[in-house]
Amino acid sequence: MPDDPLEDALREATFAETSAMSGPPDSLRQRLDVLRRAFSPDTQFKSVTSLQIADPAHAPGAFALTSATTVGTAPKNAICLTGQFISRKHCSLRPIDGQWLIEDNDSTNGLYVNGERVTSRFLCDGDIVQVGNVPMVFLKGEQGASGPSGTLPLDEGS
Amino acid sequence: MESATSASLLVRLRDVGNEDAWDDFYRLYSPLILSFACRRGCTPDDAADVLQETMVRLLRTFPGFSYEPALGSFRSFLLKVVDARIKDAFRRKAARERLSQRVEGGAIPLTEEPDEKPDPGAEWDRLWDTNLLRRALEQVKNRVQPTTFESFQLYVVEGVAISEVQARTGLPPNVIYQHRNRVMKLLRKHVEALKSELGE
Repeated sequence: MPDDPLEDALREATFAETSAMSGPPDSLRQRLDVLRRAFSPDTQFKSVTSLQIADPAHAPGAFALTSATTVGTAPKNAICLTGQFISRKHCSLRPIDGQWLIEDNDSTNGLYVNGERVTSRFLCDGDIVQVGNVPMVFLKGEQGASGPSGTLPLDEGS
Repeated sequence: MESATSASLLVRLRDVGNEDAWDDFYRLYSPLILSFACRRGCTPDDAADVLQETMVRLLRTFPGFSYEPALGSFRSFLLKVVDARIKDAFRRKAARERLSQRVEGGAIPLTEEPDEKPDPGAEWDRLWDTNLLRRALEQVKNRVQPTTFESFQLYVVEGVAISEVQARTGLPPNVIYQHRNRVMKLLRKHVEALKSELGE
């Protein structure tokens, strides 16, 4: 029987390498809906790093992040939220070497990122930050991200 | 099961509201992205972050794009996107370590970036092809009888001798050959369909 290249490829393929990793990301799969909504045409502050309110039950809104910022119900917070389970000075964000660090300020009900309670975390593009009952999506600014107009950009910067 | 549509996946992804398209893409490529990130030195948690950031980058990219194969393949584009996100993951890791050590000042070193592997493309291509075969095989598995797939799995994928396959399945050799031919024909069809979905 002559050798079939596809049969050879099947025998040589190490399926365990790719199939073993197919389980864990279900939590992200569930968050994709929220992330897709964050890219609606009326999304604000696309060009700068921001927190986008991600729950249709709350008034739509976005907060641009340009420097160290505090979040809570107290009026003097740069991001002043109204809602349940939010402390007066709930959490803070600050840029460190190009990365954004979010820290819980000993809030009563805690800070959650992607459904997990955290005391601090360097945020990733698309992280869902939950402050009290207000979910927000962290989006990095799009500086240098777009390619030639109307074509798939192939020059991805690092 | 993939959504039944004649439109290529890349075209369907232009609509960020197309839940089926984005779900198809996620199920098809998340194993590849996670595996690649891990092989480039990421922890499973960091690899999950790379996957998330890649998906977000694509959500930004696809609306309004038109695919121009002359500018390069989608496979190459996705490698560049993922590789940039892996570098970001190493920067976050360095920032975490710096913060925990309370080290002040200076730029974050990128000492743990996988620069000892100068050609990520070869590894990416190998995992890409494996992932595509794996996905096609899963689709075919759902299209044939369990005994048909079992004999194929043993005889073709695992390379078990035909006499042993006969002993294990109770099927005569001519039926095992028929199963092999049927599954291979289906597999080729699904591989081509998956390639076509991504403009390859």
